[in-house]
Amino acid sequence: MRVTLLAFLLLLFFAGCGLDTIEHSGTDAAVDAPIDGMGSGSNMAAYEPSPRDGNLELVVIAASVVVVLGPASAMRRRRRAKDEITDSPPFS
Amino acid sequence: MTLRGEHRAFVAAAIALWLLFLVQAVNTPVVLDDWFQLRYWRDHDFGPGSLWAYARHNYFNYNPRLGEVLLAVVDGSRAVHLILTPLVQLAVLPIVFVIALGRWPRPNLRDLQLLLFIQTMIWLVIPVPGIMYFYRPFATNYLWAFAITLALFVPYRLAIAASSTKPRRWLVPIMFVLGWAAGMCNEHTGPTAMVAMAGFVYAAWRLHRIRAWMVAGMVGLYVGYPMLFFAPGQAVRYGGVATRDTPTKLLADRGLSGCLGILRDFTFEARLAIVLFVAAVVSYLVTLYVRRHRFVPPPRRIVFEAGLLAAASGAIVVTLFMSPTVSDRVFYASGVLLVAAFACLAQYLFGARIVRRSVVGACIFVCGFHALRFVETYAQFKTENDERLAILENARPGTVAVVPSHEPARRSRWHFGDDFTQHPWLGDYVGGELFDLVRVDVDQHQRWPAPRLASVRLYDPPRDTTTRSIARLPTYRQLQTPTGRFMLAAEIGRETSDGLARFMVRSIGLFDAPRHRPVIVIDWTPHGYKFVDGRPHDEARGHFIRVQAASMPKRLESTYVLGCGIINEVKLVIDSDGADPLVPVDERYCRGPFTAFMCEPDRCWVAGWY
Repeated sequence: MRVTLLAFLLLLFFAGCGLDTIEHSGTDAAVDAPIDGMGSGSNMAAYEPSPRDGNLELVVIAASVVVVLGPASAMRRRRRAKDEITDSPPFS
Repeated sequence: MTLRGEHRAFVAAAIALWLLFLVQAVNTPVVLDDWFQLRYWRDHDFGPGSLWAYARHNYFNYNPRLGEVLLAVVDGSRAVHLILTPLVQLAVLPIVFVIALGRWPRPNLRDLQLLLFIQTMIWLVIPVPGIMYFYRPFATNYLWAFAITLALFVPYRLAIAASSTKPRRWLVPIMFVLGWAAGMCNEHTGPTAMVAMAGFVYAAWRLHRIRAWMVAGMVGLYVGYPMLFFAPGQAVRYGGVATRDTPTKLLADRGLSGCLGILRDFTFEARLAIVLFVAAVVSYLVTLYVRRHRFVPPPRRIVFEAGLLAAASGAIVVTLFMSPTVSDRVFYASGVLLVAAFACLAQYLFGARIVRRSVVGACIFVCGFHALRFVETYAQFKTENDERLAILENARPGTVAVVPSHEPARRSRWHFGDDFTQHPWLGDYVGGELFDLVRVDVDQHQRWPAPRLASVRLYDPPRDTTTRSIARLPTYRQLQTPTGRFMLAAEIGRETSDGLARFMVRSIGLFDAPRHRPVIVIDWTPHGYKFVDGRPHDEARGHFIRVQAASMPKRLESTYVLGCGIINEVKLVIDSDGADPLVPVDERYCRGPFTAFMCEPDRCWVAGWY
């Protein structure tokens, strides 16, 4: 289980916390080239990287962490509460 | 919650999503390719006749995809746009649901949760959701197009999943047309769709459920896709890049690392959706661990279906290995199929209530974030766009208009950016073609000169010598055809009686020649003309621009190639057998139009294209 959680943390790192070294192949613009390709978008935007949004990455990472840890901690809380009820003497 | 309550929640959620799409449709600005449609509708009445003429022209001379005609439809009529666009965007959801799960969604809470999961994942998996959904040219060419392709498969998916299938003869013509339309949608998704279709029909045949409408849909698809792939317009689009290279040549050019790079790009674009899905899986495993339950693998059918959907997603990415243009938007279809595979497995994970609740909570959070960003971004974009349109409409014809820039000027995940800043020639095109203006400037960003052609005329006896731009001047590639040369001859012929002694077409703003030499396209005198004729040439040694030896400049000093915004000085490849000299073209870093220039000590020539 620890290995699974560690792998998930690595995935989170991949998703938003780094790896800016990953390069993207060039993107071409929507506009079709004029007949000579003069000044067309298809070559002008060839180096434009695919845009990232840091806020969204943060939102998704936070949501993913909650998804992973939320149920387990909720269950632990519930179990602890149940244990406390079981352990406590009646009518205390 | 009661059944009635669940039903109400389902309907309310559907209306809320439709409202979001409607608000976005209202706030859709006019950007980049939209202008070309408006230019068309300026001279044509909106109707079936004009649309047919537009589709026919596109098929033979431009972008043959069906999405381009759909773009003309939504740009041609605001009413149609406001009605159709939100409905298509909404329809994507149940269509993906059917493809993933083999049944229509039921109006209950469980299916609503799955639909929410699908919508959230689609927005996470596709690279630029704000642009893919709300920039009309991308929406019609990718979102609408793939919705049509998936819609074709809906009856097949339902028929295979059901225990019996009715003949439904009335479906035959509908399925044929739908199949043809799906084939005409996209070059990258077509091959996978055809293989998947063959698989569905084979499965139906094996199950003794084959029906005439199934064959009709398949025939339509198998007719439509070749019609798109071999359309004459493909030879013109993107400077003919689609027809220059064979798939095997592209594969060889890219090599293993290039192909793996495309796979890596797709994985990177889909990373946020992958993270959320893996989080759901880990959450499920953690839950089992805490409860000390044993892991029970999902039913084989679910794993098989999810595997098939993931394989289809991967197959479309693999198709891109053989595509001349790979950009983030072409990952849309693969992304949606990957989401369908995730949804297949999610229905199993959602069996654990605590996992379902946490994933649905996360989806509400992420989906809400997207909705907020969409609305806020496009409300501002629309305001700026309206202001720009008002300035253009109120500007006096024949003047220079200055319009405010859009912020941000560069594109983001949500916003296309400023089309006039990104493509400096566009403002002039829009100003000249739609508002009869001389020029359009953007206020805050430094303007790059838009490349243009200009004529230089000298008269004998000398008189007013002018350099002026003429919209009707034939372009370089037109001058390589008899029609283009006829256009030029007509232009010259009008003035020979006035003593025209020299007529020169110059290219301005395209190539910043060293030592600021003028760049000439053609030079005419009554004794003849000088035109350096170079065309694409492929052979085992690589890609070249082959220049006719007889047309070469006499005092050649240096040769340059301009491509992807980069100018490189190159050495001519001259064979010993006296064949035409070759200008090498380096397509390792990008693909697109390349232009060759040959320079003499006092001037440069446009010397060919690739």
